[in-house]
Amino acid sequence: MSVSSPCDHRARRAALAAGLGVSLAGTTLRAQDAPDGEATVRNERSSAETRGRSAGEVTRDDLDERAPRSSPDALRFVPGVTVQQTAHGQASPFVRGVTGQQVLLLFDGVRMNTGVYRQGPNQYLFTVDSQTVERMEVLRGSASVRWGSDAIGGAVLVSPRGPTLDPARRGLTLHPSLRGRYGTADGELGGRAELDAQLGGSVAVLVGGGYRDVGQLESAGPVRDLAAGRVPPVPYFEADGRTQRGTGFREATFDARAVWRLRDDLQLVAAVYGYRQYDAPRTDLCPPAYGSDRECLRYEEQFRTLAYAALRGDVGPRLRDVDVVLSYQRSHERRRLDRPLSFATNGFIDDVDTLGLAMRAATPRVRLAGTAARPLTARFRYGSEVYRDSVASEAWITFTDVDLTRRYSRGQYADGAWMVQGGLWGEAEVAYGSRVRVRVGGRLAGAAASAAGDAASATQPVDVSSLAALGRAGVEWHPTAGLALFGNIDQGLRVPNLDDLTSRQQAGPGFQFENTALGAERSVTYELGARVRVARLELEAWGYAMTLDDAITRALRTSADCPAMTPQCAASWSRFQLINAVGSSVVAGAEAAARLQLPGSLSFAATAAYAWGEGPAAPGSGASRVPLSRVPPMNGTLEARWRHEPSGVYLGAALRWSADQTRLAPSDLGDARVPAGGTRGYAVVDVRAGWRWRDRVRVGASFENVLDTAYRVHGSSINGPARSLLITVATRL
Amino acid sequence: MKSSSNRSRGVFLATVLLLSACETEAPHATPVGSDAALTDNGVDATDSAATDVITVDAPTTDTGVDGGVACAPVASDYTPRVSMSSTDPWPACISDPGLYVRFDMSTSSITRATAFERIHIDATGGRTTGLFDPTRDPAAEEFTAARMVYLEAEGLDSRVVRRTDEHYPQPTPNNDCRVAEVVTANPDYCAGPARLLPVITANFRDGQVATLGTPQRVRAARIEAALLWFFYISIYKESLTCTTVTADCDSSWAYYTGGVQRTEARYISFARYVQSAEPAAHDRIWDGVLAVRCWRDLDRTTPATNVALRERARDQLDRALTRGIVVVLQARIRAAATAPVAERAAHLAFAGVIGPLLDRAVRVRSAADADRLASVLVAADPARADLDAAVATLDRLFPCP
Repeated sequence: MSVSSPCDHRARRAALAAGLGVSLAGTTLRAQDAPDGEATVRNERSSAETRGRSAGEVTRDDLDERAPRSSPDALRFVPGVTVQQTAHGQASPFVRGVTGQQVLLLFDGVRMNTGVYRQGPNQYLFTVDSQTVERMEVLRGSASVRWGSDAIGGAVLVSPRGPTLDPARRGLTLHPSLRGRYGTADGELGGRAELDAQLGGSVAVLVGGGYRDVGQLESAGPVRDLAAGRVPPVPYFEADGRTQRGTGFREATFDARAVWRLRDDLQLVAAVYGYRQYDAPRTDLCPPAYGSDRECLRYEEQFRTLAYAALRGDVGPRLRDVDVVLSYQRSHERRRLDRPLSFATNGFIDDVDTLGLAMRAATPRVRLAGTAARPLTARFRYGSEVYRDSVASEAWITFTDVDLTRRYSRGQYADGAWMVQGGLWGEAEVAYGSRVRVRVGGRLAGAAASAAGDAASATQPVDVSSLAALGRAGVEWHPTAGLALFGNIDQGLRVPNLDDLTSRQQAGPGFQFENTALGAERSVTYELGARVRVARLELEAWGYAMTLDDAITRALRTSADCPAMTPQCAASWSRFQLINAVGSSVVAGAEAAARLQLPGSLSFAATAAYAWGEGPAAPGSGASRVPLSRVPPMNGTLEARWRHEPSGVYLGAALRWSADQTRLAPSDLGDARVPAGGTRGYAVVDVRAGWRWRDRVRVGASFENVLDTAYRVHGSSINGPARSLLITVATRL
Repeated sequence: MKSSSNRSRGVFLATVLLLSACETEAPHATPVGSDAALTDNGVDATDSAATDVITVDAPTTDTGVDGGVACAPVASDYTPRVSMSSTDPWPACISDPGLYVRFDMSTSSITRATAFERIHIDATGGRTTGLFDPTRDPAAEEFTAARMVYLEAEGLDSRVVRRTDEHYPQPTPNNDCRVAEVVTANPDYCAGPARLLPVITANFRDGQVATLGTPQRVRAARIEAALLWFFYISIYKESLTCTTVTADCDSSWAYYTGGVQRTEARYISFARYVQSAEPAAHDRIWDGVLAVRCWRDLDRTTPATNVALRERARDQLDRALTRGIVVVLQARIRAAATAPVAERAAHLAFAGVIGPLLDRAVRVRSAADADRLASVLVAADPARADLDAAVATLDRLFPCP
């Protein structure tokens, strides 16, 4: 994470981009707000979204240097974010202790969260190709006023790379480039080819495609449980005691992004991003903790396609920062449970088609009162969006010894279910001089869902709708030039989606079944922050408390509670139903980051985060309060970087650490991903080196886990990579 | 304008179709009936089932014994049915009233016991004729429907593939029957995957395609026998693992009873068979189940520490369980002796599965008897006298404990 202001970052990057642009005869237009808050030309979304809030950022330079294995993996140096992995080809960011449906993912302003995002960790950020990412920002804390449902713990804002567009150029300009990766821990071998083309002075296109083949992941061995030092049943190790079965996958990506500069301050963007993942086993079910070692659940196909067209920029003097996006997203998931001993495979397909229309704009900053030195100004941002998900879901069994297939009456979700959600929002920012900014906002949110019943599986029909109002307020005070203080109160909202309302599935902690009577859960984040910039030192710290009312949580159920015609529910070791918890849940914690820039381009950065979560216990459990599930333990990073600009050489070293996590929720106790007694802490050291020649050639090597430490992120099915080397090579013409 | 809009929409839809074109669709379900092949006598199995329906709730056999069989508990046995255990040497415990008190209100094994009944008859699924009825040949589609029940998530198959027979010593250093190499090296201990699963899957498979050569009812009888043996070894196994997981005592109880109390007199799965064959043996198994629960009540630490008391309880349970599986086997042997040819084949098939599995227990008592029984129980067409002798031998070796 960087602790400097987003504005400063952008300015630096803009300057760098300008420099590169001159040398490469091309200029990448970037999101930027002038210091006075006036927007200028952009072909990326503004990151003013995070101003005044607790936020962390990962830049393209960070991505190139750290060479993360995936987009979620790129977030592991952001404080307050923990990346849990149920599978090698899946990863889910926990933000301030929550994940899944309680963290909103946005790609270029388009909601990635669909109506079937699950309660538990989910894999969907993994479907963003990190090679297409320009920047990732994590907005910590509730943020539903601006972003809508699901932004309970925070929002992850992904900004894609854009083509080079130099308004001064004419004719056709082509910049082909190639990138390659090889990793020893999992035999990863992949690459990407892309073409950055400019046609005339107003149109530019970036087209790319990639592929990688990732093998089984070698770890440094088992991470023993805290209860008795035993080897947990998950993951399952091959005979060498290090290679993890149920890992590896293949991946193909494609993308195209066209930018048509209508005016200096207005552009049209059309883009498509495709992700195709094949044969990605779910590690905790390949093999299952207590099943045959030949059994395996794998995601045969995990596809996501996002296409959208957007109008962005200033439409007129009073209509600034316009962003109108019409989007279509299709998620396709095909799973296969192989049971070779029994000559059977179970198959599942869940598809979600999402149509979205989002609009937002801002007024220019207007002076209300005050003096020229200390003006009282105001700016108003507003917007609306609507998304509609429609679900197709089916399941079947194939008897492989007789080549016979039978379909089940329902899949994981109610087939044909749909959900609409959206809202209207507005947010005002009032500034007094350069010292004080006050922000207030509100949203009116609505949602509706419908699903047909199914008598054969005793599935209840769903026909629900809801309206909710929520608000936020924040203040930013700069008492001195180097000190900034922040205070925010933000409401979050999550309306129950089709997963909550209709799904039946074997989740990590047990069988989960639907609750058609669920209501929305609402959160309020209270946070205080401070940022200090003194010469070469930057410090930032945030403390927060988030209350969660009517939390949608898993409640233990008895066999008698299982829906009719669902024997697999009662047959499971544990059964859960999603309920609105009576009483408030609380997540409280703190995040801190520091950065020290020393002479000679040597810098140090450190982060630390702590979260503590507690919620009401289920009635009859004998306890009144219990820990929330899978809340990460205290964790942090320490990173040193050195760059020798003249030669292009850079070096880096990083320490990633985590304390033990022994505070377990009742549902964690039966979750094979959580070792008995909790997850052991760790400290992992990485070393990096590389060389960059202008923007033409880049060679990097990451020597990961140099001490060969066996470690596991709390809640994960896989252990982290063993001591290994990851090599990246890139060239651009 | 309209045409332009349509064209745009067309382009959009075409793009969407193109982008999703790589997705693999779900396989088409095989049409029901396409696999309804012929039985060995050339009669369509479906037709046969429709015209010759005889539903049975339990093996329709003349057991030759009644509830009056005298059992002989040993002095150290727990006997809750006799003055609430006041006359035996066991201290007072939670089982004395004769009721099983669960540790956990949810016992997943109940569902697996129930699944056995649904494999036999699944009225809610539209299958009202019994798969295990030895008087008829089930249709291929009945095998398919039954196999779907068998393969339900967390159902019977999920436990068969890893079930151990704790009558055999645990292999060292690795006793994990999830591992293929361990299964291969220890087929007796890893009885579920090594002994039972091949019988179950092969006979489901053959039943689904109704291959010629073996009557469908024979295949069903083999599945029935293998699943009953699964319950037999599961009850015993769970009584051992209850040492560390108290809910496994519940599973032991549930695998036998299907989750009911003795007084409820609702018998399913293994208990249904034993109760039908010999009520006294059924009662003695109940005593054994309650003895295990009593031990765990008297030894509440986790893991349990009173190994001597545990083994006393488990020995009592094992003697009763073995008598239980023996009387079920005897019932089928007796039935084989008098049944029509087609039905006789089913009973003998049942005995042909149970017999070899019971060999360990028989051989411990008498190697000579074990050899004689083996020759009879696997014979294609044993003589009536040999069958009668086998029943008598089993009674002699395994009296009601």
